[in-house]
Amino acid sequence: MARLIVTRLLTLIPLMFVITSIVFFMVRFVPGDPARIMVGGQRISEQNLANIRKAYRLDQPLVTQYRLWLGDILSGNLGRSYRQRTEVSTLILERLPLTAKLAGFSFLLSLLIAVPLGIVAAVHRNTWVDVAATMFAVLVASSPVFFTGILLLLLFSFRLGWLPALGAGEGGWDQVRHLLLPSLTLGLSLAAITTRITRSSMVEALTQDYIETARAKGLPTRTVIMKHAFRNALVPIITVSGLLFGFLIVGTVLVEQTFGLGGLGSLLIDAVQMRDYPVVQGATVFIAGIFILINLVVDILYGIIDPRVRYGGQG
Amino acid sequence: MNDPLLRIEDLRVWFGTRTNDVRAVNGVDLDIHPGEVVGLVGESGSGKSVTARAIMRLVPMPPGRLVSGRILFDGIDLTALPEGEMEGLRGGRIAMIFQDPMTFLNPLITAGDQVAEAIRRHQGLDRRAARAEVINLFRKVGIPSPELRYRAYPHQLSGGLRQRVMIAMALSSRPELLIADEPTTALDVTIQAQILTLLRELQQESGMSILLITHDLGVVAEMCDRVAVMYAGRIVEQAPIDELFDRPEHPYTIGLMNAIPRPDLPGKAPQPIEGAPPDMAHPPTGCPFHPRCMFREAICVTDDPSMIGVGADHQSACHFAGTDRIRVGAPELIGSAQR
Repeated sequence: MARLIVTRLLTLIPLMFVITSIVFFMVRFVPGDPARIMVGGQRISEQNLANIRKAYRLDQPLVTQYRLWLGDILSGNLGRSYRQRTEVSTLILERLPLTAKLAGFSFLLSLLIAVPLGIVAAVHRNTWVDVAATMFAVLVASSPVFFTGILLLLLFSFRLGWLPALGAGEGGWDQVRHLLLPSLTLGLSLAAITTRITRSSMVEALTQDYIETARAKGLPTRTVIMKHAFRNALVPIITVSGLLFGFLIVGTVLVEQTFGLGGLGSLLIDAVQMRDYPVVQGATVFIAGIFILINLVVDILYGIIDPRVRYGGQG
Repeated sequence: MNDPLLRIEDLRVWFGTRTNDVRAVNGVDLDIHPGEVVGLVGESGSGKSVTARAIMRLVPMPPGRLVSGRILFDGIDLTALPEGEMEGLRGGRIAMIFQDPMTFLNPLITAGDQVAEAIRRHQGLDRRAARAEVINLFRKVGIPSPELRYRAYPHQLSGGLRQRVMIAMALSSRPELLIADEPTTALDVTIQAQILTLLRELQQESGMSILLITHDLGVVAEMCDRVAVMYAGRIVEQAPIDELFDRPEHPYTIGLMNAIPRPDLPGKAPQPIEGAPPDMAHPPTGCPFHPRCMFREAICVTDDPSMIGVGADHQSACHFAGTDRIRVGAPELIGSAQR
């Protein structure tokens, strides 16, 4: 187990290197001159433009820029924003709590919806319950996040007036109220996939031989389902949840736009539009790092759930 | 004889498919007396396992369907029992062990905890007492270093040990009836013998009844007091063990015996029964065995034979049971098929 973690942490290094490199070159191949965008289309002399480029090392050859940047991030420095003249790390940390809450909330809601629904669908497979769960999943999965978001907004904010439509709110309870709709929007679209996975892995688990043993022991159906089937169905559910985290990040970007939330997603979108290279790079590397860490956690969870992984055993 | 512990009357369990019902169990009558070991023999697909699962009420319904019949256990009709009470009997007064101890144990729970779960369910012991009881049981079923094995996961145990864990689980609440569904089929030959010996010892010690399901007549010969031979969803012959081996009265039984390799008779090669068991969605007319029967006559194609007594506690469902036709028709076969 410890070996697994160490190996995974070591593979993190080349992986992060590849990701940062791809991001570095990708932002630079996007058309648009950061210096010109920075001055916002005002008339400005070539000399001044050159000075700006020089100040931000944009006059250097790409390879030199790359080397300098690598040196910076290796020493933990993500650079400064072109636009806001602030450290990228400060910008990220400012925006992080909101996005983290949004993501966490959404994820929690998605599990609260998907897992019970998937289990019920699997237990009552091929009945109307199962069909209804499938229809829900297909419907929500095929609706874009902003569409679902707007529908929820129309219903809960404008028609019923129960929840605020825009903004992140102030303080504990107010923020929960403000984040409820965005999280539900995102949670629903995640839940669609998780419901399907929960259903199929529960169906699989419920048809295993050991379920018959558990029933033959005289265990009540509830115990059979939750203790014997669900634990065995967890591995695929967790795998998919880990991968869905990437989807979740994309989702937060869209949801933040829809609900006017200033989180990491909108920081990233703005930065791309302004060709604010350090912010794009910094935010992407940061998100990629979290994504990789989450998947490491998933691997560790496998070991906790499944002794065959833990002991590296056969069969 | 005193009242049977288990009495199955005209049991029919069919499985619905889109077009036709598959008549997996199609009119089984069977008694098991207290302390008796009864073998239920037949090819794959003859309905043995469905019969066993019907007793435990483990047949998934749907697609399965109880078409007719009663299953009386100690006078209680299991087919009419509320699910809650059935749960109390399962793993309590009636226990079951299964074919493949690998797939029938939960891979994520330790061997000990899986047995403890049964004990806590039926005896209401607390965690510690259940644990002590499991270790006792492990010792009793011959699991070496039981404390260590308690914490082992199924994949860390050999096939033989896993089956011992299953047996410990089944015996934990001292059942009156143990249903063993091909308990040795998935095991190595040497381990098979050990498990059978263990089962017989445990049976003699506790006096429980066993319904042993197998396709192996050798296992039957070693273990059982009485044998029921199953074909196409019903019992076609039943007799005390010696009687059956000395004087089989159904062509299918004779066929099964001829299919056993006989190393003690080098001149005699095993003869498989020609053909395959019938498709139970479209069972044949008349006697279900007639398409494969070497004694077939016109009547077999048209009339379905019922069970007739051919000796003390010996019945056979063949038009020619008890006549010379079978005994003369296969004298050499029968003579050499004795155990």
